[in-house]
Amino acid sequence: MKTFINRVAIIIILLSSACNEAFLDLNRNKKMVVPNSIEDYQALLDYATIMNTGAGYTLAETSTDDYYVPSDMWEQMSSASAKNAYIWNADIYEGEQGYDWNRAYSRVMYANTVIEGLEKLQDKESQSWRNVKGAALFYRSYAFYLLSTLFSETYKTETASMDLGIPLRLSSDISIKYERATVEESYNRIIDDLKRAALILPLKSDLKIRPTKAAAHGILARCYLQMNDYENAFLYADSSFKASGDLMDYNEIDVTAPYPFPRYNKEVIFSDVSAITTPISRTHLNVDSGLYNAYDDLDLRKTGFFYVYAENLTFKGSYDGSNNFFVGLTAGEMLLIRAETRARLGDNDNALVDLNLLRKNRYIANEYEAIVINNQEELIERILLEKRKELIFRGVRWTELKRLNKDVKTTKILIRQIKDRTYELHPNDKRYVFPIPDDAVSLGGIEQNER
Amino acid sequence: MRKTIFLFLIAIVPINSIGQELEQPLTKEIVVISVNTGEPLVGASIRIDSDTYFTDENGKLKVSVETDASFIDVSFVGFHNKRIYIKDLLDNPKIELNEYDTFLDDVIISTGYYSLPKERSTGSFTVVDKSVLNRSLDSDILSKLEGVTSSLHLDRRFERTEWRTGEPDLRVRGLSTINSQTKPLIVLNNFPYDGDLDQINPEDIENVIISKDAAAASIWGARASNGVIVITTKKGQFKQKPNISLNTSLTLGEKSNLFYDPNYLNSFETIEVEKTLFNRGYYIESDYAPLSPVIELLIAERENEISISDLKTELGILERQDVRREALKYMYRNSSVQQYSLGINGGSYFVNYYFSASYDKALESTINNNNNRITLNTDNTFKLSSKIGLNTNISFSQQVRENNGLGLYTSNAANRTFYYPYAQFKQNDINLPILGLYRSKYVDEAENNGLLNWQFVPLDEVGLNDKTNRQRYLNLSSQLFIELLPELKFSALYNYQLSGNRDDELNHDQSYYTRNLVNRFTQNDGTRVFPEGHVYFFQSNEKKEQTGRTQLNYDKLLGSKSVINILAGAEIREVKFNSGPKMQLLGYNPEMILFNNALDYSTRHSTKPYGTLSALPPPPNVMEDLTDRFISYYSNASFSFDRRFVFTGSARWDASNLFGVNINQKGVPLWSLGARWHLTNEKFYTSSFLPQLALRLTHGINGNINNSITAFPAIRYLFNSQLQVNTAALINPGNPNLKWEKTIMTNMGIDFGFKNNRVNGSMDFYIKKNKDLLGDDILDPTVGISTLGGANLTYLINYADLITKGFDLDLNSRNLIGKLRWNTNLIVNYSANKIIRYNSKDSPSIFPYFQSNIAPPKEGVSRDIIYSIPWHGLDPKDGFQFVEIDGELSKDYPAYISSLKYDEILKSGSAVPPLTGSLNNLFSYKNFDLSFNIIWKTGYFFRRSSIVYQTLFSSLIGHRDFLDRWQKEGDELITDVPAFPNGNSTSQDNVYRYSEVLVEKGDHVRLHNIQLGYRFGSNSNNGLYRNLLIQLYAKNLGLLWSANKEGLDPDYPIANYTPAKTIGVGLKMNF
Repeated sequence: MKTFINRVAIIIILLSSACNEAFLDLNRNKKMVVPNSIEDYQALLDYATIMNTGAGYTLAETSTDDYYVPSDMWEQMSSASAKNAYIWNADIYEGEQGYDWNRAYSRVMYANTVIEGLEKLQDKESQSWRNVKGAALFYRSYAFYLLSTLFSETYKTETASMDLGIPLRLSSDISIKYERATVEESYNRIIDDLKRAALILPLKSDLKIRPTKAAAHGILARCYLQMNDYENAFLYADSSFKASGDLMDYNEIDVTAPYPFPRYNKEVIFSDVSAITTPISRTHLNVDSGLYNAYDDLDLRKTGFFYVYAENLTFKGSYDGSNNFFVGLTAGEMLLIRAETRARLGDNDNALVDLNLLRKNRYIANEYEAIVINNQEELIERILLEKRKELIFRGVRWTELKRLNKDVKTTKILIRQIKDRTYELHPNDKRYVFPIPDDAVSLGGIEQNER
Repeated sequence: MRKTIFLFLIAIVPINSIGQELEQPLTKEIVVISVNTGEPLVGASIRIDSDTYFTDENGKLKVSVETDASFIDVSFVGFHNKRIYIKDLLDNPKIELNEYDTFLDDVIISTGYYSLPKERSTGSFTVVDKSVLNRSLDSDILSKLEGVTSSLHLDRRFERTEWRTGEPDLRVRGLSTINSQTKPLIVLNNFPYDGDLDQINPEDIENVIISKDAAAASIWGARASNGVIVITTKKGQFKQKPNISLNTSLTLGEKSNLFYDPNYLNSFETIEVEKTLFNRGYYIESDYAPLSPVIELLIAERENEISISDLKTELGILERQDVRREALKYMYRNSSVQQYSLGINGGSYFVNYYFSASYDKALESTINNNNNRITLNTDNTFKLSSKIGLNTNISFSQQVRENNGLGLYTSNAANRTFYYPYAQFKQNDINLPILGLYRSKYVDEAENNGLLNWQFVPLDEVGLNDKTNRQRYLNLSSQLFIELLPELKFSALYNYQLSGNRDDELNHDQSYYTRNLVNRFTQNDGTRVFPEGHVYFFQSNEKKEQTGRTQLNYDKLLGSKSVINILAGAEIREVKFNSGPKMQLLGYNPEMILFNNALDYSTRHSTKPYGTLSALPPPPNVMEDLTDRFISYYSNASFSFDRRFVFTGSARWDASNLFGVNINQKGVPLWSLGARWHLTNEKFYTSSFLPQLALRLTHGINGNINNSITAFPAIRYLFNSQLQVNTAALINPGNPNLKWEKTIMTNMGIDFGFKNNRVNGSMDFYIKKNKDLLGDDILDPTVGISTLGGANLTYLINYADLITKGFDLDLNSRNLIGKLRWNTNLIVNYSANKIIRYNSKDSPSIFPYFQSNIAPPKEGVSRDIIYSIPWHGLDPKDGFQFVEIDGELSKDYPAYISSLKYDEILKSGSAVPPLTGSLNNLFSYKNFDLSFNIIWKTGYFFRRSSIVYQTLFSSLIGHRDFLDRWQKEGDELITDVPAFPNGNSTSQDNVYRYSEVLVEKGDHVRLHNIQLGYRFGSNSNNGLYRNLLIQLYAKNLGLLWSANKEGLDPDYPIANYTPAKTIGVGLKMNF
């Protein structure tokens, strides 16, 4: 009996030591991991649901002058923020969450997690490490750029060092609080990081959701254009266009199809897709008739972009091939930035070449005629019109309005009509800067914009 | 006199060795009587060796005492067993049995790790034995427990309707957590059971024990926080003749009461609303988006396609329709449940056995929804030697649920979860189409445009979408007991559970689901991209659980009156779960089992009607592989001193493979201490008024496992089929400071029995503190934590402490004894909780306090609170609701909502009844017995529904309150229902639907069930059967009284209809 007890004791002791780390170290869910490799970080950045979707454009597109919503429909809408953004109300959210803000900062969280994780890896010289690092820097800067265009004043050299920018979150640690930087600091951070990213990003990518050097240059071109730094804007737009630079000839596309432009088409430099709010959905959106009439009948975009749905003249020209607005970077946009900056820098001839290059790919082939404009101002005006037509519902109109308002020659008063009430938004109005979401102010103490 | 009350005979058999033999060839007539009443007991069982005999009508039996046995065992249901030595019998042939008492007497408590007489435990337990369970004819154990189980609350607040699989949320002594697992641990025959309680044959159950306090539950350590429910199944007995029992029952239910639903507005009124909206230009008339038949008629009239008088006639026809009437006629039926169960048990000297088989068949009230269950169970115990015993148990069950039916609220391919009130399903034997996903003008033209018929015909759909769920469950366990020394026993236990679940969904080629896809993917040139044939989905999952346990028990009698028990053991456990992938077979042909397996899921095609570019729907990308591992060490000791004091202590250490946690954080130590004082056995205690009295006190800590805690960032992989790459979502940024949730519980109890045991019972008071409860921190969205639009990123912290205080009172009384017996069992439970610490921020928006099922936590407030918006009446001028902004009455609802602060909203009370109780009365007279169960719940509130204009406008789901809306000046004095809105009414609706006038008192008294039984003779000599019981059982008999005057059932505040009344007849036979 004694030996038997001994044996039992041994079994129990064995069981005790079975509490080795191996038994309890097994990962409980095979799908879940603690990220610790380049592949993990690449997979995080490839999460298009966050990184290439939904950030930053809903308020801006809802507020543009490219469309209107019939009064009856506006009154029936349920989303307070969409309704308020449409009439440029001082208060927008009424307790709703700030979609654009939250989504953009989700991207920042992903990017920071990746940037910090990459630092802990050994192999920092490999091409893939550099690419992922570049992509993470790109995503963070791009998010900061979006946030800056929405929630702070546009860049003005005289006041940029005083104007309130955005919180520049550079850490994934949620316990660190970041105050709003100045506009100058914000743009400096965006530009520096994009330049660093451009150095290590690949020239080409098989996936349009992954940033490339051309994409980094594309955002840099947008930034410098906002800052009225035409030399740099030209340089980066030119570089971006040359690196990617394929235009689609609309003559080769069935523009009568319900969604004529395929997703990830060859003009796309970097894909980003926006969510849409009720007013800019096809059941509500009516294209501004003045703008619609500005499209020449020979312009294939007129049929490619617009159609009639439930008595609305509405939009179908998303480069995402869906109802969602494509808001990424395209070769067309780069070409137009190059054209504008060339014209502004006095290179009218080449500006005109650029303009006509785009038009040639947009007009019915056998009836296309190049235009000739010699006057610089007239040319700029023509390029700006072309840009508005080309980039309709692409997320750039709001920033263009803000930028052009700085120049008295290109200011515009926006007008909305709801039944007998008229709403106006004057150039450089404080309401061009959207309010910070209520919860960011109440929970994070972020300084609110004056409206 | 025949007096047979209870149903089953219990015999508890000692496994001890047998004494000396006696040789006295004699017969002796014995008589068995009740001590309490002095009356003879008819049909008491007398076991001599392996033979069983029964007393006759006078309680007498002639016993041959010429036997090997030295004693006889006498048992009678409801009485204590007694063992009489035959030599004693010769002197005194009168055997007196003591009436059994649920609360004070030698009930054996089993915790899954050890069994102990209740008098030697310090913890708080509720025992529900089979005699109570057998009173109902329900086919699942939970229903049987309701109303007879102290401290167990079944929460049905969130049950909608046409519920099939949803078990109610269980709470043992209230809530113990906020976001972690709330379900109590279920232990089946010593091992944790994660399966569906539906899969256990209730006839197999010997008893159910609810372990409520720390001393009772903490042996289960990290899983015991929510209480433990221990289910023990029946066993055989050694040296017992085969005992066969056969049960069968049939239960019929009323048709579902569709007319209960308050969210219904009659056709006439609905059509009036549609006319108004139509004139306001509310409807967007596109070529494809669906418009109701009324709107189509109004458009036709506007376009001069029909005349005004045609319109009137057509609308007149629709006005007379009632979709509920239609649905009752064609979609619903009377439900029925048939149950058959056979059990055999017995045993020889070395082996005992229990075997059972059962078959249940339920036809549910929705036509074509059926449910079958088969269970098999065998349990054997072998005496391998005088010191070694082995028990094996094998049980199997299979449940097949067919969900082929289509009810009024069943979701379906046409997105019609509710049909407009004037929908008509059948006319002149022809099944009629109703509005589907697209406009009827477009749908009507489908076949002319080269498409398949695109109409949605509800009654045709019944039978075209076969949905079947199969669950199989296998449980194997073996337990080896070795007596090392007389006082030291070793046991080794092993348990294996395998449960498989498979869901099949076959959408026929003629189903709307399939036709819709074929049509959507039909190209302009007529090519059909979507393969023709059936669409077949199926998914399986499997769960494998293995547990091994070794344990040493030391039991020693110290002198004659003191006992010491110590046990210690180690347990290792693994639970593997894998599911999926969900398979999708397109172009499926079930006759030849053919399908198209080479489809292109990435090319985007133009789809009808909108021209949206879309790829064929790829098979769902779901697959899961989870493994949970646990290691535990535990120990339990009890010392019973001089029959006066009992001291207990337990300690347990649990560790598991939690994700992303340092190894030293994976474990947690948990413990309990307890004491019991039998005042009765003190010399100074001489009360004859209260002859039984004991006090208990326990204190200890239990835990609750939460798998989502992680110290490091965690990502979850997903495959992106469009891009053909692996992507990963960040799901948790990680928090290195996380701690386990803990439950600290103190329990004080008193057990008492009055003179002659006419009244006895127990009372327990407890305080439960739940510390470090985990929850999502509310953060500034700037940090990047967001749940918007697929960014399911949250940050977990230990954010709250919760305290629950309560008491449980259990009282049994024998009101009448003698020929007519009347016993009453009263249960009163009180449990109320409060959040005493909350260290996250308040919700920045006020709406979560109203809108979410459970309001966000707030310090000093109950977790179960209902908040509401203060009521300031309706404006007499226009009938719209007043709200108060800065002390001024206003009707600017958006401004009100955005300025509303937490301090301004009302705390309307608890949504969960703090004070509940039930009263069971049991009468018996001769061969009849009658019992009924009354449940009451008090001190709570529920938010009732009312008209939400926006829902009425967008989906035609109205509410009967619409009829009472403000219509003219003066109405504000008699109604609270706001006037018909002028435009979008979302904020107006919200201010009303969450207002205080819609919070109703939930207090009610319910007649839960009635049972009537008649028992045929228990004389074993007539051969065919030993006893036979016929039962009638009625359930869901409705509310006897309710505080709310709306006719609503407060237990089901959001249900479209409440459970139907059922009546059943059952037959139980023993051979």
